[in-house]
Amino acid sequence: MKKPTDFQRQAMPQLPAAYRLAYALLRERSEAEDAVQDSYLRAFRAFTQFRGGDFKPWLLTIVRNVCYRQLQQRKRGFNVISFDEALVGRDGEERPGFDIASEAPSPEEALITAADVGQLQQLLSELPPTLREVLHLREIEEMSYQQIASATGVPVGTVMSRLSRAREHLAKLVIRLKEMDGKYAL
Amino acid sequence: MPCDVRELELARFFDGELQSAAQTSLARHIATCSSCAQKLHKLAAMRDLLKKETPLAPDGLAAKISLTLAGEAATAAVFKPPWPLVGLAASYAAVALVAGTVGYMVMSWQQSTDNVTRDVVAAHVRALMQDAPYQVASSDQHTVKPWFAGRAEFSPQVRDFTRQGYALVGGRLDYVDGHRVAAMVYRHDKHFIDLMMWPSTGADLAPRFSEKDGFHLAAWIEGGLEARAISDMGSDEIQAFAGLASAP
Repeated sequence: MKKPTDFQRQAMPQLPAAYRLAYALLRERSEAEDAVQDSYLRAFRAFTQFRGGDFKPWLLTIVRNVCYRQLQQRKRGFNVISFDEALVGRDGEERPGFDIASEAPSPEEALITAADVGQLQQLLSELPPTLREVLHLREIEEMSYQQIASATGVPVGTVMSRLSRAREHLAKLVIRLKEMDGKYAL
Repeated sequence: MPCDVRELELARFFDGELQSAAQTSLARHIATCSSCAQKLHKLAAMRDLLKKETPLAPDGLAAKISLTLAGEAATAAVFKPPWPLVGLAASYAAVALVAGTVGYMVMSWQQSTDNVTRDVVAAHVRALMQDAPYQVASSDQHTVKPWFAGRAEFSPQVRDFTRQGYALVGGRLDYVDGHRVAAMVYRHDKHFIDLMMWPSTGADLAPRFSEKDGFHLAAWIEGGLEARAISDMGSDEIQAFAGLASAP
């Protein structure tokens, strides 16, 4: 019989990846945290139906579904503009949840200015979730095109075009290449 | 000098998705083409920036999830008992039930016991997550017992079983099924045992045992106090402990 402890033993090591995926899709920390909690509870309830095989993709599929459902709900409420947004505007710098600069930067991060990060976050938020997802799975989780295709349920060609569109969009980012010279020497 | 390498091909090169021959020949080209090298720099810088921007999971998240799952496991065990799998254990339980009890009082006690079990598991897990599972640390029953006076609306039995292998280490207040309970904390080897008590109007009941989410539980009523013992130690040990603690 599968015990709750079996689930925990397999699921807890995947928490960092689950949270990263939820954040990549939702772009909001507390929403990502709630989504991961919700996903783990759902996965736990469904665990008796899990017939072995690869646990990680099974778990992350649940995280993905929970996040997309969340995005759907957000879309339905999209006509409602929050008071804060109305005050500072949609691209106002004071938008909550965009204040990564308040965290002390490590020495490596000093190369990348808060302005870069702020701009990146803005650009990422503008991307459709499906493009953000492919970009995330490639750049952060370092999955191959084939792996991304099976995780997202689309053909490899679609993965490539989504990735290319996402990168094209982010290319608007002003990156201080000179400062990074040498760092990315081939 | 303009070059005819397409963005898509460069991206596939960057992602390591080209066949090895193509990968090698494109690498040779990039070494001499500043335009391609520049584009690769930009792809790499973007990847780096994305990695920096990705947050780590918040510190408390794992603990929150563990707690939610422990609560869910306790609830699920109550509402969806895996009867076909219980088999022998169920028949033992049935024998114990018939032998020990007949009547309405016991039936209702059985039902309310489900919420209690969930709360007891949650309280125990919460206590284990703290630096110390007790508010007053003492191996002396005459220190722990007075500590409860004025905090709980009853005076629990506090006994030390060090000689039998279950050492009293302290006490705390907790909250189970809508009322304050006295929790005595014992230690057996590396295991903590919570013994929770609160007033009850029920008739005396001998200890009965269950398992929830890897924890062993014992439940009994003795002298107007309802008691639960919970620990991750073995079932033999919880039975021995319940035998000691439930003695009048």
